[in-house]
Amino acid sequence: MEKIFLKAIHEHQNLIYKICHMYRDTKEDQKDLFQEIVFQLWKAFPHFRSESKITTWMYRIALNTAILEFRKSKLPISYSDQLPDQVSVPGPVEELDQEEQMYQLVRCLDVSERAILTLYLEEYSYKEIADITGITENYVGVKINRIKEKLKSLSNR
Amino acid sequence: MDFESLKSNWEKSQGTPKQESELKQMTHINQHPALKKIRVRLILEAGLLVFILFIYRDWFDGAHKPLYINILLGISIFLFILNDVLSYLAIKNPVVSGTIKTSVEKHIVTLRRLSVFSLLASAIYSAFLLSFLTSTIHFTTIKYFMLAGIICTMLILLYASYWQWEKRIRSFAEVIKEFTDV
Repeated sequence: MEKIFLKAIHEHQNLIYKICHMYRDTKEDQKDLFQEIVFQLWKAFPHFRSESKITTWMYRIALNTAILEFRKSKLPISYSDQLPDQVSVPGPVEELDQEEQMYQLVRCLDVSERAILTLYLEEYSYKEIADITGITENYVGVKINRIKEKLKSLSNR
Repeated sequence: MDFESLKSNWEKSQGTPKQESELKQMTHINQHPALKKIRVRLILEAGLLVFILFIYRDWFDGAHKPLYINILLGISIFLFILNDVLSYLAIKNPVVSGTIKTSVEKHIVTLRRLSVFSLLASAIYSAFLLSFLTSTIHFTTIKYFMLAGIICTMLILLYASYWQWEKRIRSFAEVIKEFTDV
């Protein structure tokens, strides 16, 4: 069983990497969350019944772990309908690579929005996203539109 | 960054692949980042409390104090250690099945139960320890003031602990709100 598990995690470890970067902003926290997710996946593996894709099961456990682990308090972010004339973006964003810029951007989203966005970017259907998150299919659509709007507004700053 | 660039960056994003041996290490509880620290704290606290149980009769005149006070102190120390163990188990086994929304809901219930037990255990431990230490003291006005000061400090610490628990529970309640249709 251990061999099958390790092979599956090795093959799909990138999804854990992405979730860690979505939910934690420092290298140390990302590393800790990665370990925590692998540990929880291993503990849950005996209950995996192959009724869904292994990646769907992994996303479910990994997102749950990332959200249920103690969240460090972050600065509140307020959104307005109108964009201010000048907004300073915190940190030397220009110096960051595209990937880190992307993660900085998505980390500005709410916890639920990050989970939905992850699944949407992985091309899960609205129904699958609803099944994993526990919200209705209609609401998934509403949420995705809001996320796109929010991302647009954030990246215009 | 528009949505299409975000999607393409997402697809390209990948970390340095970890070897199976490295992943295997992560399946061991000893490698768990948070549990490692909590376990050390738990062992230290439990060790200290058990040590107190062994020496209190000589060092704190336990033998000269009423039997019921001794029993209450023993019970309170047991409750304190039990609280540490329950907290450790809750962190080790978070609810990670079902939908994300139901997991968070169940997690809140667990945290709520833990917070009540933890606060009660701390309050009982403080009260019984204080009763034990003061049971043979002849009180004067100054000593009453000192006792009042100690009780006030204990109440403030309990309130701070309650506030920490509430803050943590509220942060999860916010997540539930985010997952609720409006």
